[in-house]
Amino acid sequence: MSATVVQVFLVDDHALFRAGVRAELGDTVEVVGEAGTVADAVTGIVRTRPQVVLLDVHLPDGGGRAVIEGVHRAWPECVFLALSVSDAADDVVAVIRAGARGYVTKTIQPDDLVDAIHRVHEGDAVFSPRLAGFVLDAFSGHAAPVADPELDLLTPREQDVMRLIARGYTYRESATHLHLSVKTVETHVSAVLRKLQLSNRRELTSWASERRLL
Amino acid sequence: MDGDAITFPRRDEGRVVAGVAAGFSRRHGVDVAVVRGALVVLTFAAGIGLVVYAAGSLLSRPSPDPRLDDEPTMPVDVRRNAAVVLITLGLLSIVRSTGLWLGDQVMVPLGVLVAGVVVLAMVRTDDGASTPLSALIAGRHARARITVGAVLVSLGLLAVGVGNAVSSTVRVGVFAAAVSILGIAMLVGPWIAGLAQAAAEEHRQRIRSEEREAMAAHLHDSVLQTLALIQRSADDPRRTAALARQQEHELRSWLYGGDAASDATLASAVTGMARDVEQRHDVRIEVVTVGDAPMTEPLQALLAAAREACVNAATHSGETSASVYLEVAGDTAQVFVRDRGVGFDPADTATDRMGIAQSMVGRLERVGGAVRIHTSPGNGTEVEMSAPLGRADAAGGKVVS
Repeated sequence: MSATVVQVFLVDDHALFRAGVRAELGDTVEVVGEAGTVADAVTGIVRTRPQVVLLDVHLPDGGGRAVIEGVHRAWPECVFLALSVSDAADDVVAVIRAGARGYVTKTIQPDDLVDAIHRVHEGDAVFSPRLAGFVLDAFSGHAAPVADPELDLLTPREQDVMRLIARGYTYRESATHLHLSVKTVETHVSAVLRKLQLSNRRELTSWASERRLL
Repeated sequence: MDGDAITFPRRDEGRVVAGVAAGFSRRHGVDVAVVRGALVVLTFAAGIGLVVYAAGSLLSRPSPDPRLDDEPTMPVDVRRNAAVVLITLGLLSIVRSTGLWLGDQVMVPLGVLVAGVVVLAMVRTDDGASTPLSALIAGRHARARITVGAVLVSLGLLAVGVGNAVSSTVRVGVFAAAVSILGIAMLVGPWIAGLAQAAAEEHRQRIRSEEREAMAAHLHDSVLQTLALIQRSADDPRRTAALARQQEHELRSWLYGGDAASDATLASAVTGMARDVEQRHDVRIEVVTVGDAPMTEPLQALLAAAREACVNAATHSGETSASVYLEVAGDTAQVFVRDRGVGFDPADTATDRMGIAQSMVGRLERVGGAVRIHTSPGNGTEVEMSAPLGRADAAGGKVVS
């Protein structure tokens, strides 16, 4: 965990929540801007060029996805860490496939949030145990043939790493358990994130349409 | 399972006879009305339609359980529809050349009539509206389809009229019927369409208000009560957190959980068990599940062992949170219960200091499962439990609890 100060932009339509996060983030994170709507977020982010954007998934007028797509049109390298109340599979998948590098729920402890921000800033993916469980579920080998094995299947090592994360292990603990370096574990997790983003597996593309929110 | 390019599953829903046409249309992306129309016309051509249908039933697999059905649906493609039409025309001309033909004066009008009916029927399946009449009026290309359909039906009737093979009484009868139907349709059609639309709209409104009432009742019974309780126990942070957490779980599962019946499957039973332990022992338990299976006797033992592991994590670890991971793969189910607490020395054999009691280990091992404990002082504890899925066998096996 580095001691550098990461510049963060907050996007959430609950002003109270933004204020709470601002107060909790401590000294290694500097909040350079906030926004409560999609339009304000896109203009604010492109103007302030933060290192990480903390993005709420559920915004009116298109949600977190609209912000990611809007910003990436002007500035493709922007790094997004998605934050949400809901843990529903649709939200997770949609925002990751739009380009977020990680996903945490709003019940996360402040220290873990700071850690996640640093991790995403350093180029790694942040996987909650539930997201890891979902990945294992979505990529489990059904009998249906896969179009692109490189994108649509997890390697055994990647499955091992995902399984440990789903069991609640941190990257360091996973590295120890599997006798790998932390860097290797991070590489595997990033590879899985890429597959989650690019794979056209039916479970990922049709998931949102098959589920129906009340 | 899916490598067979020739067979296709039949479909029970939307079937007329055996679901062969419905299954074929779904698998190959052809409109079901086109398939049925082709079969009807071919039946008149020396019974070829019946032969094709019989071949279809032989080549097809029985309709799968709709809940397990993961057969991909081919989207309906205009070229595929055209292909089926052309194949039908080809078969018809083959039959014609063999002489087993009912005669052009019958077959041509029949073909035109069937084509007209198919075109009209395609309007309904295309837009899936609630009543056929409102669909006829409201579809995207409805006007074009209705015009083409009506022209084809009229041509068919006309051909009946000029054909020599039909006697004059039949001719007059057919025309009289057609004109009457057309006249009545023009008179009452718009009115009926209006009624249908109004009925559909009222139905929608009623559903919406019922949903709103159900949501209000639920929120009143649960969330409002909890919020009131939280305000009253604002001085007790642990109680406040526990109330909030419990309500969060409940609301979350109500919003996103669907109709999962708890305790019927392993995943929902484990989740329910974790919520229960959370409540009783005032801890936070995060549950992640991959895969699922129906509850059987070995899995009951696994569930009981997992519960004990959770309770021990809550009471002995010194921490206020634990995590549970369930994975069902192949024919085993595994549960990992982990905490980051004080851990213990595995050599210490006092029963109440084990990850789970000896009796629980025994019970799990008797059903073919296993328990492994990874722990050391200061490094937390992880209890790994596994059990075979133990499917109830076909010979009247009951689930014994």
